[in-house]
Amino acid sequence: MNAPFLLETIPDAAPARGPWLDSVLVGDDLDRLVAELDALGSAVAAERAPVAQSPEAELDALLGTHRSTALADGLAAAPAETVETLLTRPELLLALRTLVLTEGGPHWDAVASDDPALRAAADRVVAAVKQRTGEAGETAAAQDLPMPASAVAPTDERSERKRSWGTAVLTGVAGLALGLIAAFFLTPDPAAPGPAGPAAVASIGWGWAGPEGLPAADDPRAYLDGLADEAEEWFKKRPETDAAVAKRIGEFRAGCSVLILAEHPALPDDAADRLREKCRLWASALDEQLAAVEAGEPPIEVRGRTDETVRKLIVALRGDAILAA
Amino acid sequence: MPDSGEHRSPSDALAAAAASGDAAAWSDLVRALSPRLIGFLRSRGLRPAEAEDVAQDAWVRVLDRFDAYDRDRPFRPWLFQIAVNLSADRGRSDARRIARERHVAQEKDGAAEATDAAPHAGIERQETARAVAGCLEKLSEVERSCLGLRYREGLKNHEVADRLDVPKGTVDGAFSRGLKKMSACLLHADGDLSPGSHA
Repeated sequence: MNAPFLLETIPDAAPARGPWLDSVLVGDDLDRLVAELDALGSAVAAERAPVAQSPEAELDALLGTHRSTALADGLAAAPAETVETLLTRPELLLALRTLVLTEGGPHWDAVASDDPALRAAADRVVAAVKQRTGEAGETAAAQDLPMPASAVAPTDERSERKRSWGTAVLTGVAGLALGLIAAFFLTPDPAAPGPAGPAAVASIGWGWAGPEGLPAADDPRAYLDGLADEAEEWFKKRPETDAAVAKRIGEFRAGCSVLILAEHPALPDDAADRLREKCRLWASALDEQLAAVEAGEPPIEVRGRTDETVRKLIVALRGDAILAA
Repeated sequence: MPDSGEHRSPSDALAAAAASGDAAAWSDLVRALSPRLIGFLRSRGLRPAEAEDVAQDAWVRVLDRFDAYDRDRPFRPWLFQIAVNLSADRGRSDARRIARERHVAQEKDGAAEATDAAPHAGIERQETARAVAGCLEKLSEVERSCLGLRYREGLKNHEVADRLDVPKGTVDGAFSRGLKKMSACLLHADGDLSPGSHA
């Protein structure tokens, strides 16, 4: 976990503990604090009288008349003894987090804004929302883009961007994996030779799983923009049959595997981890859409859902690219 | 769910202006409330990327539905409710993955069920608790007792000394050493909690 012992960071001075707990409550550290307290409780077999009340009711009783001031001004407004007690009661801390996040006043907005991780996440959300709400016309145009399947050969979908050899190898692996999957799902009769066999899908001519790999850009902005450009290739074909839609979604899904497995040398470690985490979300959505086609849902409706997923990921990539600059 | 009875706040004024088409107010509103919105979604067990994704969708939904926003009501609870609904919608597909992860975590642990409705947080918490427990095992008994009595019972050092029937100086030293050892151990705890795996 590579993190210090959070309990060690509790300020010695009682007046500083309230503000310290404020920031822990709204950020990502509370779960760690609770875990540390749970583990210590088990280690010393902390004995506590059975409690008949829910944590919420117990919390209300503990805060008493200070409840409204704590919600308005933070825990600095609560008595030091109350804060001391809270710091020994993990179940009350979880209840308190829910309470302040849902019912707290503007003080808690400010505490959240001061949290570096939440602030950075919010900046990404703000950039993405700006793009999504500001470029509605553009994305609608992309949705309607007509492109006969026969008009673009797979290898023609690639731009002339430079690719890294490492990611080209990864894409080859992903392509092969997709080919095997597609051979299983898309070939109507494995015994009969035909155009829908694995050879038709074993190599992917576009997107992240294309033969040339991921962008070879060195700087984060160019790299993320390059990824977004590649994702936009999704809209260049508008398949309509169930097999063709499934194949197209499967190809995009293979690209997600490429992104999840790639090292992303152009990105700082935290940005690369974030990208992989987002990829897993997109992959999960695409898996569901692929399953929907296979379950017999109208392929064009499912394709519309994939359009939405792809638009969102493009916006996320472009938003991150802007913030990376 | 979010309380609807809070007083009018600056964000309510921004929301009212944004609903009337004030682009600057809209921008300020998204900027002002997004950190807490993401914190709220994280507290419900969403992973960081999921929380950002749902927050984005929530804002887009707000913009679509501003006509339905009652400007006499607080804005934040309305926003949070939209976010909760969106995360529930997407929960259908995520539920399968979460169930898989929970199953894996429970198989590893053999016990420890998450005690709240935040499955990801529950799993992460279990992992942290396991790491902390592993490090605690490496402390001497008195060091472990000092930390436990201080942080779980809320006792001062002199009270711990009374409880353990040892001199206060012993408690002071054990407490200080215990903290240092825990930090050193956790900083190096990459799943390898065997003796000698940390400084």
